[in-house]
Amino acid sequence: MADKWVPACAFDDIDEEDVLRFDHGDKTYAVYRTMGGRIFATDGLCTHELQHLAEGIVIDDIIECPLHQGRFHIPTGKAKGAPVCIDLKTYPVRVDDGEVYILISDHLS
Amino acid sequence: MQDQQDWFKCDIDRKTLRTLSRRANRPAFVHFGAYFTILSGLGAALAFTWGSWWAPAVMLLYSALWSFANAAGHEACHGTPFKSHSLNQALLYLCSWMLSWEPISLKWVHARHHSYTSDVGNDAEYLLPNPIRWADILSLAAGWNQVWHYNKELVQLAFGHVNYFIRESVPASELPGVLRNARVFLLSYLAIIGVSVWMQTWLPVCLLLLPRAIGAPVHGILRMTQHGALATGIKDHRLTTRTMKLDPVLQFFYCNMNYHVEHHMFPMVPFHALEDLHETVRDQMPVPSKGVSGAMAEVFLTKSRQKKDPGYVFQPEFRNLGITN
Repeated sequence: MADKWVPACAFDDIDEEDVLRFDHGDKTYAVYRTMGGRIFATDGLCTHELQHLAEGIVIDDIIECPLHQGRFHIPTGKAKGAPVCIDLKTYPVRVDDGEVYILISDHLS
Repeated sequence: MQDQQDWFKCDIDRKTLRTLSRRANRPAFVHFGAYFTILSGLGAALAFTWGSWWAPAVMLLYSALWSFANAAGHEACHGTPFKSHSLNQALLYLCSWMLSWEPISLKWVHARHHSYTSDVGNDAEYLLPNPIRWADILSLAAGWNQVWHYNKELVQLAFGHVNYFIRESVPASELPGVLRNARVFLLSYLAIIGVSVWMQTWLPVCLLLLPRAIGAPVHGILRMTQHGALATGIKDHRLTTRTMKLDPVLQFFYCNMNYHVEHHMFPMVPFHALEDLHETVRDQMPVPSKGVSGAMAEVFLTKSRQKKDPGYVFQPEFRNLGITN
């Protein structure tokens, strides 16, 4: 099962402390730019009730789900307490020539 | 890729929503600092007037104000008033203690209320069933059914009994914390009663335990206005939920929760930005009800019309969509 770097968006597409939705194959991802210009990627749906996290709000290193305010630590995907308790899957990212790439397994795309 | 939530949402620019959703500690410090200062002042006044003819009047006022811990606790339950998560948790636990709520299960059950707002059978906070009965209006307005519900639930949890909605809403991994909180809260309440007996005065009980029951009608009536007489089973908060205009004092203590449609549609917007959110989307929203009396008039009108048509629910008026009732 090969992994491949998939272009998700331009670095400048995401404001600082913001998040963008990226759909690829039958999956949806959330791409984050935190303070200091660090880029991360996680699964795009909240593990509680499948709400798109890209509609949520980034607060420091936390993404907050727009529906129930479940909180996840962006770099690790760790659930930070009620009403979420299942961690988010995270994905390696790289920025190349102003483009953000996510490392996605072939079988997921 | 399909998300489960397909509620109607007003059009709003993403950057505007992001700005409105921005968190800060200062507004909440000012707001809740003022609330708890006034509450403490009234508590001190109760202690000062204890035994005099003034005491019952002060007790009523103190209890009425105490009941607005419902609004503060609700905000903290969403984790939105402060930027700091720890401060939100501290406010949630304080208000939960004041109202006999178990805070962990409250978060999960309240999340369910936002997923299934006015979806009869799924929404644990659906309180005024259609067709409306006088018994339900009176029970909700008294607020004592909620006091009974939360106190009974707390005692049951303390003894390890988990009710249907908590079992359905709270993951098993969270239950030990739920039972622990219930036991700690219950023991603290018993300690207050013990102190009262030991000191041979009911002042501690009147200061810390009774206000949640005596003040309950204040929040009971406010809760009735939130969804009462409106549609059920529709994924459009504008039809299931009510926004009303309030005078500034009541709006302050109610933490702007009179903008209830806006809160349900965009729950990540903190209480202090709800008025701005209301102004931003007002042209896509129903005309707000005119105060608590206007909202209650809508409930009574609906009840009256349901005599002929039991399926009737109140239809809010829209400004610019050509929809009128």
